[in-house]
Parts: sequence; structure tokens; C-alpha cells
Amino acid sequence: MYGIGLLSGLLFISNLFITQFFSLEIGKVAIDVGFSVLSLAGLSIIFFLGIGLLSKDLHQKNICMIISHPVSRFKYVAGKFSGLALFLMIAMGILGIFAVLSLWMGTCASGGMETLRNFSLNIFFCAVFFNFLSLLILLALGFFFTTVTTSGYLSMLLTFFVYIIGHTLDTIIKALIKGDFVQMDTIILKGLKLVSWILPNLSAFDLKTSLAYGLPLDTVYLIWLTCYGILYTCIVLMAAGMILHFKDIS
Amino acid sequence: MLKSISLEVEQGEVFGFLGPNGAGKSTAINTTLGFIKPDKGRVLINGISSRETSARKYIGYLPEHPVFYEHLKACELLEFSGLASGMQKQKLKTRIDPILEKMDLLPFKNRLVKTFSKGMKQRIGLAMAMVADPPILILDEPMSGLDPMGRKLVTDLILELKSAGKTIFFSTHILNDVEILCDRIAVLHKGSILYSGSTHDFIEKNENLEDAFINLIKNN
Repeated sequence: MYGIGLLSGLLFISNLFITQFFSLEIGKVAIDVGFSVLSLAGLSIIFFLGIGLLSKDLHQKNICMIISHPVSRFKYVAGKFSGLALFLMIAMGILGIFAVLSLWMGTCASGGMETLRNFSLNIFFCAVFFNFLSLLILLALGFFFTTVTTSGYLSMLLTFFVYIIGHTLDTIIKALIKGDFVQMDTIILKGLKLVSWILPNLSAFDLKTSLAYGLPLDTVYLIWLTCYGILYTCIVLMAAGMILHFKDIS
Repeated sequence: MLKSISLEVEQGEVFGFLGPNGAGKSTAINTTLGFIKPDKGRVLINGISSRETSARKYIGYLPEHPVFYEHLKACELLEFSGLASGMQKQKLKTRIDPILEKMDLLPFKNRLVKTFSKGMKQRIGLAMAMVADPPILILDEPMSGLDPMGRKLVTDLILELKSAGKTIFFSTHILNDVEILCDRIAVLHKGSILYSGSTHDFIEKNENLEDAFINLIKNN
């Protein structure tokens, strides 16, 4: 919690400074800084708190003190995940509010946030929500890898790989579809597209560009994306619970 | 590794599980609690498979090396344990202080568990096992890490629980305690049970329990 407080302070101060240095496109710069801090805080919570705690529980046998009570292993995974998801949500909320507050204070002298081109508070918080959803997917994957592997570092590494792939594969596929550099078979491209959603497609949750350039958002697409995020998280968590259920803990 | 062992513990008895280091005592206990799935056979607690979550509402468990969420205070740890066992919050509040007093830990009620000594951690672990007042207690080396005062406290506690009709299954290699506490014992060696029966019958042909135990292990 102290870390989140520190990050919020840093975000607030940096945004105040940045808005003084730039005369044009202040909103875009502030959004970039804000979302970078949001992602950094989210990833820190997932890697050090989420995966770290679960891995410590499993490998140092803290879990035995819990499952020796009438608590199923599925319930244990769900409870641990819910607690961390709540913490993640609070952290994202605090950081999001600080980002807006600093932007508002920075632009106060020049007429407030209304003067920022294409900036919308609704889209801003919508982008924060989808950032949170993508972090939930990553947290669930972190849980899954922790139950599969025998080392916390290995599960952190695997989760990090999925994070990188999830953010880059879609861009690569888009470049391949364009066909500027390499020509590929349509079936292979469709297969790759499917793989990008299975891995999962984390870049789809990044609404920073729409927010910064004031691009319109398709409501149906956003609903579909929310369903995908929630469903993906549930499936991965169930798989983690299933693996833990059959795992010998000694 | 355990090799086809079969044991039955009667309601209300204190059962000692003996064996040298590496005999498989902790593995047997982990199997009893459903932490490990046996390759063959089954473990039943009050007729329910130990892999079922519902079987564990009858059990209080103390591991050989208790590990806790050490950022919690002693009273918070007991509250957590009670709630996980399905106790009502109101009932739990009236239960924490007497348990801590029984374990000689009441003055440390609001102290973080991470500041506790090894013996105190062992005693808070035992308090966690007892907080929901389960009918069965499974204790893996309950005397481990305790000073003579602590051992006396736990010995008296086991006798008190026995008189209250609780079933106690505990592993140990401190044979003096077994002689005082146990109605029946089982001796485990290299994953097999060498003896299972009354403590009295086991000692009968030898001078004391220690001799009987050493002779049995040496002959096998």
C-alpha cells in the first residue's frame, strides 16, 4: 500500500511537471505517463505480490495450514485471487484518480481539462478498467503457472513471456496481414489470429491510443472484450484450481 | 514411501505413531489429511474420504514445522483458523482468550507471530488446531522445539483432551511421552508397520519402551 502511495505521489508530481513543459498535446503526454505508471504498479502487484505470495504458500507449505481446515483447494485459489484482484482494483482506482487530478491541476491555469483536444473522462476510466481486466488475466495466468511449476521464478518468467507475447503478437499479425514485408497464406494468418486470442491477446485491452487521439470506441466490441477477459480469467483460474486439486502437497 | 499400511484409530483414544527419522510418519499423516493421494487404498475419517473437504471439519492439525502468516497477531491467527473451520464469529470471540491462556500465550495475544520463539510458535500452532474444538487432533511431533515447561504443558493438555473424549493421533520419537500418554501405538519403519497394538503389550517382554522400540527396529 505504501508503494501505491509512493507511485501515486510520483505520478502526480511528474504529470504536474510535464504539463508545464509541453504547450501542445499535454493530454497525450499525461495519458502516456499515467498509463505507464498504472501498468508498472499493476505488474509489480502481479509479479511480486500475486505470484510471490502464492508461490511462497505452495513451496513453503503455508497452504497446509489452510487446507487442513474444511477449505477446498478451489476455494483457496478463488479466495487468494479475489483478494489480490480487489487490491489491484483499489490500486488502479487510486492511480487513475491521481492521474486525472494531476492533469486537471496542470491545466488549471490554461482553462482546465476542457481545453485538451479530444480528451474524455469517460474514455479515460474505460481505458483504466480495460487495463485492470488485462492485469486480471495476467494474474490468473501467474496463478496457473505457479501451480504447474515448482519454482516461483519460473512462473514469473513464464508469466512475463505471456505478457510480452500478448502485447506484441497482434501487432505482428497486423503487419503480416498488411503484407508489406512477407506474404503469408490466409489460413496461417487466421490460425495465428486464433493463437493470439488463445495466448491471450492483451494488446486488445490497450485503449491508450483511442484515448490519446479521441478515437470512437465501439460499445459492442467493448462488451465482447469484457466477456472475453472475464471468461479467460475464469477458465485459467479453474485450470489452476484443478491442477492444485490433484497435486500432492508434502 | 509407505508400503501397504493399515491402521484404525478408535474414537476417544490417544494413538502414538512411532518410528525413527525417515520412517514415513509425516508421509502417513500427510496422506491422512488428504495432502497426498495414495497410489492404492483409502483413508477414511468418520467414514468420509480424507480427500473430501467435509472430512476436515472433524480435524485439528499441527504440522511438524508449523508455518504461519507471520504478519498476523496471535489472536488474528486464531480468528483466521476458527473462521476457516466454519466457526461463528461470536462463538469464536469467546474461545480465543481461554485457548491462549491454556497455551500460556495470553500475554502475547496482540504480538505479531513473527516475533515468537520456536516453542511459542509450536504452542500457537497447537492452539490453532484446537480453536474450533474438533473431535480429532492429528499432531505431527507436537513436542518438537519445546522446552521442559512447554513439554509438560502439552502433555497435560493431551491428557485433558483425552479425558474430554477427543481422539488424538500423534507422531513422535520421544518415547517417554508415549508411555505416559498413549493407549495404543504403531511402530513404523522403512514405510512398513512393525507393530500395532496396546502400549502395555509392546513393553511387556522388555524392560521399558525404549528397549522394546530399539529391539524391534534392530530385528527388522
